[in-house]
Amino acid sequence: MKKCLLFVLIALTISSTAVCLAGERLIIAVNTDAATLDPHVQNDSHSEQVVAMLYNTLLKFEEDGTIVPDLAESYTVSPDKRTWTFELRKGVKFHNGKEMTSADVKGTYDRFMRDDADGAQLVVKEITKMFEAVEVIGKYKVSVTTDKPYGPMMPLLCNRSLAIMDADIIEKHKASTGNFPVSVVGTGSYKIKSWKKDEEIVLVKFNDYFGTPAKSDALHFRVIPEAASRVIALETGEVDFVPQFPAEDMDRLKKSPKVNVIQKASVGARLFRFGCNDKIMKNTKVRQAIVHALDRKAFVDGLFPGMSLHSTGPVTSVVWGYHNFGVIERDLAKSKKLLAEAGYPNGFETKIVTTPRYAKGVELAETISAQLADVGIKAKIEVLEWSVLLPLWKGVTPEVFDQPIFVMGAGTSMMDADGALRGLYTTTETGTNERNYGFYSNKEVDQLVMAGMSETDPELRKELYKKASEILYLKDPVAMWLFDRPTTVAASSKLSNIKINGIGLVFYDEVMKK
Amino acid sequence: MLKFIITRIISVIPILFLVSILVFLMVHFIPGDPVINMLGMEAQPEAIEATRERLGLNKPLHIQYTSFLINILKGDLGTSIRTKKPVIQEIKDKYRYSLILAIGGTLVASVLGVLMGIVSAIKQNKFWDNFLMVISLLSVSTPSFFLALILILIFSLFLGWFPSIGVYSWRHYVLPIFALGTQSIGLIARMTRSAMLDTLNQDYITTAKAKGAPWFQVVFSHALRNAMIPVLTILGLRFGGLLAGSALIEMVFAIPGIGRLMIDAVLTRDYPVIQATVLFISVTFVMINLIVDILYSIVDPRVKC
Repeated sequence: MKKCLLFVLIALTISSTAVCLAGERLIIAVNTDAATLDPHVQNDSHSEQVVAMLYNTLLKFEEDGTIVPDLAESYTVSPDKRTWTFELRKGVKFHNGKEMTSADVKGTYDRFMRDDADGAQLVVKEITKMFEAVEVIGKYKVSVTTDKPYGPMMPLLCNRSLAIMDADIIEKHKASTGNFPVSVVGTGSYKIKSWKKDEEIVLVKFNDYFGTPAKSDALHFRVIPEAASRVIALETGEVDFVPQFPAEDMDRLKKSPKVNVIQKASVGARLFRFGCNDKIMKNTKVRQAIVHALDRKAFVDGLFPGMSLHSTGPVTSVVWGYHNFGVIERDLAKSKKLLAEAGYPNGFETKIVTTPRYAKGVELAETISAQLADVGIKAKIEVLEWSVLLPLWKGVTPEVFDQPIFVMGAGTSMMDADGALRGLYTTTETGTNERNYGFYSNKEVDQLVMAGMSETDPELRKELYKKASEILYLKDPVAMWLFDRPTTVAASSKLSNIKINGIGLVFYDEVMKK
Repeated sequence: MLKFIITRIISVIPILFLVSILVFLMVHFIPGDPVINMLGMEAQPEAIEATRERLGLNKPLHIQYTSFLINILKGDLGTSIRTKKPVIQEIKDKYRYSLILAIGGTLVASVLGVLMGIVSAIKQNKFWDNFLMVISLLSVSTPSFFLALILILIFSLFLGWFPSIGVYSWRHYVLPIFALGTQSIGLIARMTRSAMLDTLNQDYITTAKAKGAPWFQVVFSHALRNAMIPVLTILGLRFGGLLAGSALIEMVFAIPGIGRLMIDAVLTRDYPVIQATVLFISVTFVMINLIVDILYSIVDPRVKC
């Protein structure tokens, strides 16, 4: 009996060791699956990360945010700054073996530029409204013309939403492109091998990749919904990479010899916006009072220690057009004075709407509510599940929208102030809130942001965004910025050469395993 | 026997019909919009309306329910709004994981629970009885979610005996099955103990002992068989509970089972998947209890079919 037990124990120990020894593959533990692998439809960071490994864009961001050619070898801009002509790389292969040519670029862009393109499906349609025409000039030459000069054209072309796809695949699979492995065909360093929904996406190295070959043979994006399980799996060696983990695990992981924690400033920020349709919140002084009533150390040092940075403006430091306005310090006297000037010397009652979908969404609201109580503002908290909250945000009118203060995330995949400000904080034309969920409206901001969009002189653009940002952050606040969210990942100490760009995309193809 | 089974199966139909109505109404009355969830924050109002039209979600509820019911009778559970895959395929892919967990959990719970109950009953009011009842109380009151994390910490992180996530070999099932089954161990142990105590005090047990029947035969052949009826009832109910309640365990151990499918569907208001998974679990639950009813007659011949 004892021998039998001993045998079982030895067998278990040997087989458990075998599990820990992964081959030349990287296992990435993600909390949720990619929604789609269609670059033009994807609209979440999980999908974007996988798309980044599968597809290429005409230009791309390096780790430090500089823009370099990707599928385009070179480009020229017409004197009127409206037409961009690109010389494409020759010999670039799609994963199905077909050569990428200017016809694919036209086919890709035409897909979302067509009048009848499904704007709901193709998220990219909204951000490329200024595109007027795409012309094939030669097999490897293509031009893109905009309706007027567009200042941030280069960062826009780096956006993964504008990734080049095989035109034949688009035509063949139409709206179901990117939903099944056969319809996922890019030019990236990895190609798709399998996709078990909500379980795992497996990418394998693409041997005909035009650029530097990927270092690992395969990438496994494995879905592990529970945060504690992801962290333990990293410590046991069952996974190599955890892109998201709770702030509470930070200290322990930093001390672990098996794990390295890597952090990089990103475009992401956490804020609570004001519903400017609210009769109290439409008053600028009220919003200023709230902004000055907050002690942001409670969020940065208390709720997200080591995983957050103090906000210093409406866009983060990695976004082009950023200006440092400093941290807004808590000043209760100033806040009370502003409230009195606004006609609320004894404060007022209001509501904070939040969702647990965002990390510590409820705790953030509770902290804000407690801090606002110090200036007499009594804010009750309404916690809504994401699927309940979304319809309350989407396309509603000011008469219906009932969220004086509400949680929101911020970021831009083009790392430019145009992407971070236009649409989100500019006045909507339709009367519904479109992307400007809080119905914020400031004519000066509108003019500055629209001028920044068409201005092509970088220095002048910076000046325009500085002015717009000052209004949004201080003079006529659109939101209370709580903290910036750097990208923080935990990786096995066996990994090296881990690079992350400002958008938060990890260059998994360059990661090496010891 | 056949007539009994057919009658029971027919009696199940109104139950499932009722379940289908309840589930349908429930998912349609909870707040949230599957279309906006699917299309995301950037979606345009026209596109939202068009998608609603395409999915038939703008039709009156009774029309939606009728077509849902007709499709079920045709064997078509619809298409997932979120993954765009046929729901039947989704369930087929994931059901086996949950079934293995539920069967494993029930086996662990029944073997350990019955053994603990027998020992407790035989050693009534002695050290082992008290000790095992404390253990059973602990197992009943420890949330499976918490226990799962403790098991992972001890057996995966510290000892390295079992993997902590996924289902790639039989070893991957060990911890989730124990985490799932443990709560039922205590319940079954207590139920077995009390049933055994009742039986052990019966006259026929005294007679068996007086006739010099071996201890083993008295306990397992005479007492246990008669004590099994209430235990079987609990086992049937627990199996259904474990199948429906494996969602948390599936989340912790990253197992793509039907519980996780259901939770994801609820969070994204994927109506066809919610309806189908709840119906599927209900059918399993009802079928298991049907099997239990049949088992009664085998265990106790007095129960006529």
